[in-house]
Amino acid sequence: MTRVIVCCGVGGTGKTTTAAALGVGHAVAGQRVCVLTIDPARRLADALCLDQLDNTPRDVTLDGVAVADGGSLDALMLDRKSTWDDVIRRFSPSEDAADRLLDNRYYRAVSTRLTGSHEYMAIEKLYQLVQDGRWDVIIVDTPPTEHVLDFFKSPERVSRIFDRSVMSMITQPGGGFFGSATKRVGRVLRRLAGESVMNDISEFFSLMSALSGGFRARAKAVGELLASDRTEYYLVARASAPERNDILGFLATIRERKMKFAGFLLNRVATAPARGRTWTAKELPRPKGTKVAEWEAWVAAFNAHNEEVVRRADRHDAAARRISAAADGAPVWRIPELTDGVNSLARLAELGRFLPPNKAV
Amino acid sequence: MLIITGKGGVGRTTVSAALGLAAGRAGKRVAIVELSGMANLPPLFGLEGRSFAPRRVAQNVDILSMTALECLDEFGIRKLRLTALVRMMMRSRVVQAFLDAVPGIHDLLQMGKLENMLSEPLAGDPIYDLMVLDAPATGHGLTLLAAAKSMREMTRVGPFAELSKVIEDFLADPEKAGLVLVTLPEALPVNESLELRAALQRDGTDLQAIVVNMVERAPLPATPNWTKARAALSKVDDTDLQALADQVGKAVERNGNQLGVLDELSAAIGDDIPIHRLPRIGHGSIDPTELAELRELLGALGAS
Repeated sequence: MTRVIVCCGVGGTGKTTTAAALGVGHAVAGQRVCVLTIDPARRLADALCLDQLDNTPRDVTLDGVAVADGGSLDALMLDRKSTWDDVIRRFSPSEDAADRLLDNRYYRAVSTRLTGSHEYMAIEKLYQLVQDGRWDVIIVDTPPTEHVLDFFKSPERVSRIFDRSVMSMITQPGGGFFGSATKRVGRVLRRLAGESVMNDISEFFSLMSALSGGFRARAKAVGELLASDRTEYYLVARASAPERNDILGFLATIRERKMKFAGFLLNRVATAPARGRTWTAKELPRPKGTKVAEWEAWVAAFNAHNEEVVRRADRHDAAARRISAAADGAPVWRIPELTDGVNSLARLAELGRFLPPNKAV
Repeated sequence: MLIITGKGGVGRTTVSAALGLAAGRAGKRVAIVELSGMANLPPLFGLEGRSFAPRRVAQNVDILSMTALECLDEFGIRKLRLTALVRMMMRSRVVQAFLDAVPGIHDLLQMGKLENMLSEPLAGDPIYDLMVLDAPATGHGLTLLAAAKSMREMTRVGPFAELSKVIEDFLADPEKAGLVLVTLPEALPVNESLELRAALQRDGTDLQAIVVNMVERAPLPATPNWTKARAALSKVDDTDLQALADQVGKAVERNGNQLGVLDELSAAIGDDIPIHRLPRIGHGSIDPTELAELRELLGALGAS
């Protein structure tokens, strides 16, 4: 049975890099892994040797990394538009119906620009990967959003759109208990948006009606998988500001839906190797050609830097405890700061040592 | 209008607040605005929750947060002169579904409201000389432009099409709207900034300014230089000292990289647009204690 790991978090927390490092780490531990990334930075794509970024899983050659027997890594990048087109082609009743949909102006806007359709397609893609059955674990990097919860809400929002009962009220107003009120609202919307948009939307929904059963069935299947204990959720946050990532809302949603929260992945955690120590200029050998006053100033700055490092490490430690307490003592994986960025497979493997399936320390 | 854009975590909200307060201090009447119901600004001023109605946070400076639905309601009053009854009906789930179903419509309605506040305020509305827009991480200037274009691709008639035209013209007029990009002094964000600028230029526009946030101070004096000092420290048999020296070495390297990246940025931009550097304060972290510090700092900016 394929397991799923979902990396949640807002933009700018290092989510994609963390997802990739989780992938390498699980492969190192001997699992067959597939990483579904959303928008990897060029360097990360290079690190995974994915020079041809596309919508199908590519085998990542784990050169120079010690991998336990059976471990393997595939990676792919979600292409929203292609995944949409793919789904339309595959599930339309006829080629003609598919062509008309692909040509519809409203469909083109939906498949490239609709808020939430990225998340929706991530779920379609996840469904395909799970159906494939080739992997022990699929790691999902979620699209960059402002709110952590968008990943959960957006697919529902999009599937609500496919709820024809609502859309037909707009496109063909009238009838029913609230008929006259809805009619007037529909008239206002028609007036606002113009006839042609409404006609495109009408055509879209009538063409989609043949597919909407399939959409609903797949969304339901993935929804069950995402709520089952085969799926684990991790929240990726920055050590310097984890609270900014809407942790409480995220935890409440996870609980409400009885999903399995596995812990926090805290990025860029500072460590203090020389806590409580200070040095005097006298006890440190003064470099040749350096004046006494210069050396004293240098050593003072060195000590001051140490104090700053300690303060920062303390803040990060306090933050880790705060968020863990907010989540009933959930584990926190502390990922140290790598200074030179993650630009190679070896670097990802190094990060992976601080991540699941290794224990949190 | 200054649209403050940049990726998540670069400090857009802080820069928006600081810019707004500075302009307010210079005597401009300012509104600092958040979209999509965000509420990152209020805590910076010791306020809670979000409010569509402007709230005063310093002399000349208001903050407000809007949603598409609130803007549609206003649009209904101003442009369509809808009755109270119809407006009430417009708050139904049918309308919410419609807003969710039309790409770009959220952006469009909110931009429309902002443009309106500036260009044709109604009697009793507050008057602003400057609007600072804390744009969403995923919606920089290109997305706003794309929203207007996308709508006009779908329709050429009706109020939404007209609104799109107004917004396109507004965003294209450097006298009226300017994009300020907030970025970090690291290779990747700077490269992405240059790519964004190239894309804007292809569209016939440009950035108004670049703000490089969280620029670190040099961790140590220049003399003796790091290589010499590190060699001297290596002679001492003290594991704590060696571990700390390794860490400091990385900070020195990072600082050198930052300066290199900043030079590259200056070279690529030339004198075309100003580049402002903001120092990293408190290691750039915002925990509750530092929020208070930042608030104090912003307070000083707004009060004087």
